[in-house]
Amino acid sequence: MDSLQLLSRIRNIPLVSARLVEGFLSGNYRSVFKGPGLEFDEVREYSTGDDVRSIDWNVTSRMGSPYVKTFREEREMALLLMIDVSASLQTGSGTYRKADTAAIISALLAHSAVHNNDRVGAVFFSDRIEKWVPPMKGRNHLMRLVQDMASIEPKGRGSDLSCAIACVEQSMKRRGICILVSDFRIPPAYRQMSMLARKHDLIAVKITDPADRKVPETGLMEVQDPESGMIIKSFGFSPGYRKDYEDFWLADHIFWQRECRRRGIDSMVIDTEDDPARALLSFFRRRKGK
Amino acid sequence: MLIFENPGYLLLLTLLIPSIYFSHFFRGRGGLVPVSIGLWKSSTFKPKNYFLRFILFLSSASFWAGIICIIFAIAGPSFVEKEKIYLSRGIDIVFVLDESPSMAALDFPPTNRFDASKEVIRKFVKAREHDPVGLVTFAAEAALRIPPTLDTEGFLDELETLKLMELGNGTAVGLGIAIAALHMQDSTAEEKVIILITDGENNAGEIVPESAADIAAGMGIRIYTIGIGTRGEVPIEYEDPETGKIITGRYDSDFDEELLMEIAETTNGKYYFAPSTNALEGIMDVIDSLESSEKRVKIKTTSRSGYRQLTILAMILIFADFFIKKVIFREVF
Repeated sequence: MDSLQLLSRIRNIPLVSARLVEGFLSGNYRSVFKGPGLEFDEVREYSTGDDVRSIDWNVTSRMGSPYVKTFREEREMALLLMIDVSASLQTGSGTYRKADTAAIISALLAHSAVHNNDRVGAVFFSDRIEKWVPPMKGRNHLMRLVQDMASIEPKGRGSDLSCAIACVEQSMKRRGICILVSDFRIPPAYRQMSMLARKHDLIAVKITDPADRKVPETGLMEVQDPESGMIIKSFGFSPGYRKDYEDFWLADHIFWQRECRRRGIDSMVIDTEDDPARALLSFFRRRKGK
Repeated sequence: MLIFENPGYLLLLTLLIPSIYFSHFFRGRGGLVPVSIGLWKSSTFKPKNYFLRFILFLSSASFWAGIICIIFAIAGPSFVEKEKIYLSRGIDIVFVLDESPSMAALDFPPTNRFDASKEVIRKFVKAREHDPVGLVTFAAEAALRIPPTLDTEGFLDELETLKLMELGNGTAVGLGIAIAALHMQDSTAEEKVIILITDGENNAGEIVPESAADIAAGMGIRIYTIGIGTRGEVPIEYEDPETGKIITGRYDSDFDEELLMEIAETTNGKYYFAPSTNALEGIMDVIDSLESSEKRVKIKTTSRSGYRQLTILAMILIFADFFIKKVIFREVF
């Protein structure tokens, strides 16, 4: 699926995102979020009609005339998408590659955030930071972000999550929502993930593909890992081989789920065969119910 | 002998290493299915299909062996056997060797004159494979030992068995020459040569050397005469063939140089004096170079081409690889 097709698919997203907003960024989910609510902005001279309760007595006594503190309501929240663009996502057995599913999900979430007048940013990472889009508001920003999602061409092949987390920790000073979209074919970085989860709301979205779990029953194939370039001989007719492969990835998946649960990271799994919008909706509906 | 008709094609073998590299080891080669099989820089799925890999290794090895066979087949292997055929007839050479007891004189180290003569004759004959060589020996009598022949092996075998004094006690130079000449009279060779090796005076035989030389000259035979031995008293040791006793003593060596010179002159040959082994060898070399004839040689080559077998072998090997991969393991790409 090329980026053009993907873009056209993403164009349809606003319709879905409107519903998603209800479940996701408003209401119940918001209340989980424990922000300060009001944020100090500046002090200015008192003018008639100001609330006397907001007079800053310290400044007033220093200046000799009344001054009031003003607050800015922190309504908007920052949503940061951490999108894995490593080579392992470029694979997929069906119509969509894992990267396509990741892009659609990211676009959905970005749309929802903008719809709700929140700031949205993204960090694209492989074994390096491929692109950093700071959180901002507005439709233009959203369009740029969606464009990036559909057309990014990663330079690195591997995936290094800890590097992306370090980047987010440095740039996201205030609490926000971090959504990590990856296939988790990455070196385990659970420690860094729980550090991030302590500061922000972290949701791990795992993109899976049927080929990741099962070997198709085919004859001899030479299979290459897109990240490491390692080549193995795969003989799908051999039951022992299929079982070994399934067991290996099942163990990996179970470990991932357990670690996420243990560290208080919300996790969801989306398969390339699933409808991403539907999956997201049901995920947030489930969250609401919690 | 294995040769290649177009050895230039063997250079294709150098392409083998890059092609093996690009089809089996290069990571960017085609026909690979991208499937994420491991966590990056972390645990990776490692299949335990060692037997499969072993079979595939054999299969690929068979394929490349087949390719090698094809390259060899293109290069045109043939097993060539070469055979020299002499088109011109060489010179007839007959050695006339003295085997009188005086040839046992020990002044030609490491042994006596007779053995030294045999040794130089052997060397001479070995170097002339296209000239018929014969041998006449004489003492009191003279006998044809070997008629002129191209069978060098047989000649050398016969030469080995020669013993001193089998023909009595005496020196019948004339008889020796006459017998040699007699056996060369029917020869069609353009040139005929007698090489006479002796150390004594003619003291036996019915034919005097001079007349024998005349006969030879009449038949167009050249005689090279070699006077062998030092002058003066020399130790002597030989076994009497009749009694089997070893007789040792001293012997006053001398020979009729003038006679030998005369024989050489009449027959348009040359006389040489050989007082030592080295001199004798030198003389033989001189004669060898004087009596060289133009050799016209045809080399007959028979060749058997081997490409057919190689091609069949290559087909079998490559088909085996194809069969294993495509039929047994149903390879996808």
